[in-house]
Amino acid sequence: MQRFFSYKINFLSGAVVLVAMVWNIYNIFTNTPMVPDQHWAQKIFYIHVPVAWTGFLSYFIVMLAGILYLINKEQKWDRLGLAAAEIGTLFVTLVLITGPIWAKPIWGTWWTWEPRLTTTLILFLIYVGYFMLRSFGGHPERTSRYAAVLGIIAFIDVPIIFYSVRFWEEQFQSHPQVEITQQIPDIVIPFLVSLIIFTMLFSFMLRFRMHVLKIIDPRNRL
Amino acid sequence: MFWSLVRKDLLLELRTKEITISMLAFGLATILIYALAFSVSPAMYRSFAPGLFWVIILFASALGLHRMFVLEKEFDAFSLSISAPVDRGIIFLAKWISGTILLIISEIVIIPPFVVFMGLSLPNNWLIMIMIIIIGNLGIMAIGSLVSGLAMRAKMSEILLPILLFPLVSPLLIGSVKATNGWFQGIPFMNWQFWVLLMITFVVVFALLGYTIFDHITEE
Amino acid sequence: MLSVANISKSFYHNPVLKNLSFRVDDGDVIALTGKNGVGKSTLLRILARISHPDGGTVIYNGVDIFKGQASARSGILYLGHEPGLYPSLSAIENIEFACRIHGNYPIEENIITALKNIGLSKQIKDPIKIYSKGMLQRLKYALANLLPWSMLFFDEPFSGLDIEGRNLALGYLNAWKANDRAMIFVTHDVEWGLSFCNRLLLLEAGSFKIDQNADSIDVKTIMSGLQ
Repeated sequence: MQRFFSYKINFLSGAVVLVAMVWNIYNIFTNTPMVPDQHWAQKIFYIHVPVAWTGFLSYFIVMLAGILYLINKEQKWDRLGLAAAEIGTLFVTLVLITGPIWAKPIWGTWWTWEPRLTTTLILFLIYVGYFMLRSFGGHPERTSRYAAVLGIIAFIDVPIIFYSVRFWEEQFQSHPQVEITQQIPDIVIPFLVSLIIFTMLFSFMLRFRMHVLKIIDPRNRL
Repeated sequence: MFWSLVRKDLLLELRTKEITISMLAFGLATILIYALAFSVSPAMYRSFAPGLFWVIILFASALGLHRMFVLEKEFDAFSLSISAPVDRGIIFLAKWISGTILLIISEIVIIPPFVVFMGLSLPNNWLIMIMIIIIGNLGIMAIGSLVSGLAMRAKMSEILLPILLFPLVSPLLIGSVKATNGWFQGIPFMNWQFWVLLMITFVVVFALLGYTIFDHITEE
Repeated sequence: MLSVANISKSFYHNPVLKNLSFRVDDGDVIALTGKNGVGKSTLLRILARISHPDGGTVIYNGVDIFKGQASARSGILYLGHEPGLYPSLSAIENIEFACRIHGNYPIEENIITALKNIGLSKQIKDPIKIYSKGMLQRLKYALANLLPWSMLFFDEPFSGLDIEGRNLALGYLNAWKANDRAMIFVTHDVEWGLSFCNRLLLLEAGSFKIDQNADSIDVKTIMSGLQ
């Protein structure tokens, strides 16, 4: 099995993602306008939201991979599901860290049961169970199938979780969350650029992880 | 076929009494612990009661579900059902319904001491509350049977089951507590009908999902 | 008719069955033998749809058992190594349930008669967890005798049986054979396998080392293969 970076296309895309991400962070800190009452705290928005988006995108991919795996039982869908679950959980963890970092200066508290943050937390806990099922579920040929099912259940639960927490405690609705469509272009454009770069980073990480999973799979050594 | 399976589960419970006894004994013990730990003012109980009630039911269900699937594993009895020419979806539906029936039986024993020990005075329109409880139970058992199917063959299945179940069931828990609270505080139905709708959605979604997907988690 | 194509199965990445293919026609009586842990029971459980193969197809009467309707599998009866019944239910209740989910609704007298015929008349209303291994084994024969199966998968047909039980069992087996029904037995009793069955499969290292008509094989070759 070839090493991941020995393919030119992988090396190239890795370099592009790295440069883009460094430029993106630089751009966020220097070229975006200061929002009057939030100052530096607002900068995390350019990271927090794209990270959350990629986290949910990965969990969506876990569900798709799960459906495909159950239909045709091909190993690559199992690897895709596992890789997406791992990366998704990494990003969701970052959401749960960056959320409070922003909330503390703006809302004066580390944690509020804000709907999106709460949904993210519940999903994170479901995925803790997902990895436990992967490790303790028995022989890997079976846990692949079970994990696929859990990935589907988890994502189908997302909208129900979101609507339930949205109307759960009404006072949490009053937080100042300006929708992205109502922002000025100076904010929207760097935000969208950041969103694209994070998605690029995600797709690169996913390809990398799938490659590693393929290498370490004992079935491919035979 | 469906009724044969439900009948078997109920007959099994009639012989062993393992599931209902463990659920209701656990429920009663938890009520005692609550009463001792939160011995504050009656007003406190009043505002906490709906939440406490559903937490007891959820914990007891996790226990009962685990027992229910352990009974299937003894003597490799489950292989009888899954090797038979029965749609696996029907096996799921039967487990779901018989689980709900057993949960309701335990609740009949759990609820009176809960009301008495917490010193609660209840509104009169009982039928609505019975409906909320049945929908809530159907929801817990729908997702619970699915998750038990996933966990039953795992090591540490008794731990894996609640870890998977609790976050997945959280929207139903919120809905059940909100609806119970609405009834308990005498708030007009219009103001909390959203929660009943959410619970029904949850039940329908996971019953259908379980019916379709159970096929993939029954096999070794 | 059952046709198995390219079945493979691994546990913890260790391949147990490798691309197995074979056919079972009506009236075939097959002895499946091999060393411990070679995957005989696993194969039987795959054919009964209890275990899931990593790849391959099992076609029963023209329908893929993993994709088609569950009802397409009616006619298949699996009797496993373990009792496969509920320890807390009585013999009558167990047999009744087992018949029901196979689509049959026998009256209680028939069940009692079937139990009596296999030598179980006492304790048939007690939970079967108090039964001995041989009594549990007899229950499987009572069940098989009540159902109109056309294909039987039986893991260790004589396990735990005493002499009387074995003789009763042999009587049943001969009667079933005369009915032209297909049967697969997992057994270590090669001598019985060769005399009773008309075909022998020897599983070794994931594939069939021997797949021949029983009368064309010498016991010694099998025995040496098993050592």
